[in-house]
Amino acid sequence: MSTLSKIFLLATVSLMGLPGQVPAQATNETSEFTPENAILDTSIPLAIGAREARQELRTSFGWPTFQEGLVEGVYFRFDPDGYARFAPTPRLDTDVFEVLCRPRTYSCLGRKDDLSVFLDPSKLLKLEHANVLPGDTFFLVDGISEIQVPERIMQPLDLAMENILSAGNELVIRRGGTEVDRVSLTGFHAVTSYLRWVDARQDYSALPRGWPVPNSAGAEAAILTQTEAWRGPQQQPITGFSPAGTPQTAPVETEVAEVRGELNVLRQLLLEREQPATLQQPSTNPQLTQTEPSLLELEAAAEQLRKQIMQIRGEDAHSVAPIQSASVQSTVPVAPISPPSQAKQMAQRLEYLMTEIGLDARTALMLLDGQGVTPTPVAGAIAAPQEPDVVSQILQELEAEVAIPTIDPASPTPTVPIGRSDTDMMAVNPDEYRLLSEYFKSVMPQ
Amino acid sequence: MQKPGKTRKSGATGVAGLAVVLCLFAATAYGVGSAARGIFLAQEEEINPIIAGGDLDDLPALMRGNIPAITTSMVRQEIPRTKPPRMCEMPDDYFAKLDRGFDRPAGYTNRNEYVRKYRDRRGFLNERELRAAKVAWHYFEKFTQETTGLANSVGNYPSTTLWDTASYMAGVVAAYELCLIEKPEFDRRLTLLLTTIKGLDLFRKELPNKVYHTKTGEKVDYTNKAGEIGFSALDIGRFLVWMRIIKNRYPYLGNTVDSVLLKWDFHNAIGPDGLLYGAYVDKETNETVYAQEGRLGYEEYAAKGFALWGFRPLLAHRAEPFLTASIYGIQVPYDGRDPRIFHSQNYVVTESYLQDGLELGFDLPHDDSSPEWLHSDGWRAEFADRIYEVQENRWRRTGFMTARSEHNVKGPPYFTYDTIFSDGYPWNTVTPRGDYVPDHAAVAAKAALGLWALWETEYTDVLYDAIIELYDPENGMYEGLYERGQGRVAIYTANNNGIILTSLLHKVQGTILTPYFGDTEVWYTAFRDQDVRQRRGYPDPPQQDDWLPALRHSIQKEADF
Repeated sequence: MSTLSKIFLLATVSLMGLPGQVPAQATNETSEFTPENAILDTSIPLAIGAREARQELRTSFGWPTFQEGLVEGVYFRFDPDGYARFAPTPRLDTDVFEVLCRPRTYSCLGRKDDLSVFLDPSKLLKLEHANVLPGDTFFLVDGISEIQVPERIMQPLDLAMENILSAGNELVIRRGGTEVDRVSLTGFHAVTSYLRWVDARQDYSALPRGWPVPNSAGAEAAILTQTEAWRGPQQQPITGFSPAGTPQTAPVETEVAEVRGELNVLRQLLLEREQPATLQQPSTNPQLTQTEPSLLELEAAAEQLRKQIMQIRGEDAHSVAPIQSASVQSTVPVAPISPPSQAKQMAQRLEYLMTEIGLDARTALMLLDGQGVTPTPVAGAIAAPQEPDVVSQILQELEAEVAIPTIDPASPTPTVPIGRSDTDMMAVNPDEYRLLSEYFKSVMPQ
Repeated sequence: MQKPGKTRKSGATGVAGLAVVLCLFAATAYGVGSAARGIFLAQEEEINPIIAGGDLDDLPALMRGNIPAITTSMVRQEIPRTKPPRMCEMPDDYFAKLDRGFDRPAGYTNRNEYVRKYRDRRGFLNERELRAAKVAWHYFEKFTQETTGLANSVGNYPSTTLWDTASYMAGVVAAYELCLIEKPEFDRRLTLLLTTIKGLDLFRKELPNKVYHTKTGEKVDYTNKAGEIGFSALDIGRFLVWMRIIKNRYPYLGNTVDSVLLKWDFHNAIGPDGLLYGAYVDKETNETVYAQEGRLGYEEYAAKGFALWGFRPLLAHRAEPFLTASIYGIQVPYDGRDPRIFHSQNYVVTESYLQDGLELGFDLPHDDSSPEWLHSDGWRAEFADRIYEVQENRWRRTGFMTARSEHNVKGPPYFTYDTIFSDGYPWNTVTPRGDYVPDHAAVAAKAALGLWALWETEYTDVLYDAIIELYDPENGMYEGLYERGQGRVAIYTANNNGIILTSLLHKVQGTILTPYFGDTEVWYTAFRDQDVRQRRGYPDPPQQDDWLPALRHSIQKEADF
């Protein structure tokens, strides 16, 4: 990439308006060497085997060191100002992903041909392509077959989409069946990891699961063993990255605070939707539209669970399905979705107790009934506030639908849950579920 | 009874005769011995006539500085070259009288001197060239710091190296010799500069730090913050070349020049094997690390800079180990030390050969008498011809104007090695960290005009037309012209403008280095009453046995594809 194109790229980065950045600078300033642009310590290896090396400078200024290495099948080099190149060849000359950072910030942009990738303000990866128009279709090609990917790859990427793109195929853009562009995604995974690593001030916890984190003897290694910084081998939620410009002194606390903040927002939304006065008013909160898809998903899941319950009862699920379907359809435009949401929550917990814990439906229901609303691991990340009236309403509905048939002494052939005998059900000790509820309380205090 | 006619001799007579015979024998033996002794003693006096200070006198260290440095003009009884007059003082027929050696066949001589197939360009500057010289000099007028006399390496960025300071000294000398400035300005600039350099805080009391802040004279790191990096043997070598040029051309500055160098400690810069060593600071231990510095091209040029001051960098001056790469039929020599092992790239660029040719005439440091068309450092001239030819061949076969050198660029990565060959690839353009950046390939202005000055050919005429008007009158000559059509390399540097001025001066005056005409030098006589010279590794005046050897390497007879 030429100097001119780098300057253009820097200007592009400057115009992105990413958060935590200094005001845009003039292009001529970015083209001059400024030692204050150093944001990275090149002695901290990005991956196992990376090494810091001295630049062969014959001039009077420049970056004295850089880091080079090989990770995820691509070679890389980066400077203290964050400028990096990733390529499958050690010469870094073909199929190059280039990363430029906005001067004196941690806002960086990866780029290959017309494709750009960067972290958006919410720290989600976002793709941009200079030649994409509405209606274009996207395909991933591995040389033999191809799969179509949804248009939302041009929106902030969720984890699934990110993993798909990280497979390292080619992204093909078609417009009316005609191929518009084809961009190699080789190095995409390494570049996105590098972007997060830079954004997290070279904190290894920002790197994805399976990343070859060096077992160095430096201070960083000691930090890794501290619970404050090490959040386990699992890939962490991407919402956990601290925003640019925030010191990385307590990343875990920051993440917890953000999660709690989001939960509060969801809680408020749910409460607002439960108010009759606000049901008919269009929402002005922009985040409301973001939650609608997830609420719809919850409703669908609740309906599915309800069908399962109906099957357990041996009744025809279709007899109630139209009612629920109509309910779902009617909730979509105006979002009167609190009851179904609560039902879904209950259903999730019920499903968890039955499938994961192994309780039969009756025991699980009794447990929920006695426990009130207890967060489950499934719903842990989006734990909603306790609303006794709604909960009791849902419980009543569920009890009416589930408990009555199973304990109806008049029934000649009572329905028995799969794998459970009548004797097992009757042998349930009321003290047993109380102990379990205490256990859940102890392990999931929130 | 005694017979008649016979007399009977007594025993006393026999004893007397014997005594006489013995005396005669003794006398003869004494005479022969005395004569022999006299002869032998006389011969001994003739064999060992040791005269104090004479050739056979084993001079005590205290007196070794008094003898002159031996040059070819002394040994071969040849007339040393003379300093040419300034351009404005030259007679009109000055160039008509020059011996250009056009009738001499190209090739090596018995002394391993080399006659090139090409001749350099000589003559007065025309209007275009004079304008380019004035613009190039304007860079130094604009970007020299009044407080220190140091010139910025790149535009208004206030830092510099010894390499770039040498380029500034080249600019000052050229401006004076081309009559762009007069002696008061010339003296003021050089005196201020040399005084500042003498007062520089050295790297760990050894040699100048790699980089200095031009406004304050502080030693700084590569980010121009106060600190120290180490020293560069290559930078010091080039600086020594220009210190010698100034001292030889302007003897009245000799004491000032000597006093600068007599503050430096060279004992770690040249190893006992004659290799050059640079220094850097270990990041973890903060200790000084000395590492061999220089690859084929730059290493020999810097070695000759040290040799001009009496050092003997024997191995650094040799081409070995070197290999060749066949590019467009030319066997291009490159350093054979594997970059993967030594972690130092083997860049092949034009600049180091140009500087050797322009400033030193491809001559050995002790050569002060050979004609300009005869190059006593033969293989350097022959290798330089290959460097030129491969670039001309590229132009003829691909159409790309080619004059490759290291050069600055505007914006990241700020500097590129725009090479003829490096890291196994021809025409490789790489950053200081090794990235391949072909978009930065350019016709370097300094390389183009350097080739134009040393090779008078049709191709260099094309280069000349491309570069001679490539300037901004407010800032100086541009760094170059992008090969892929992105326009000018819009940055201005001391090195580029200094080498351009040197090239223009070479057209007028020929080889820049002129002989030294004094008997001895303070550089060699100072500190003889102390152990300073030994501790700092100061040399004695070089004698004939100390000369760097004149070598030859196999010549390429025909194109190799």
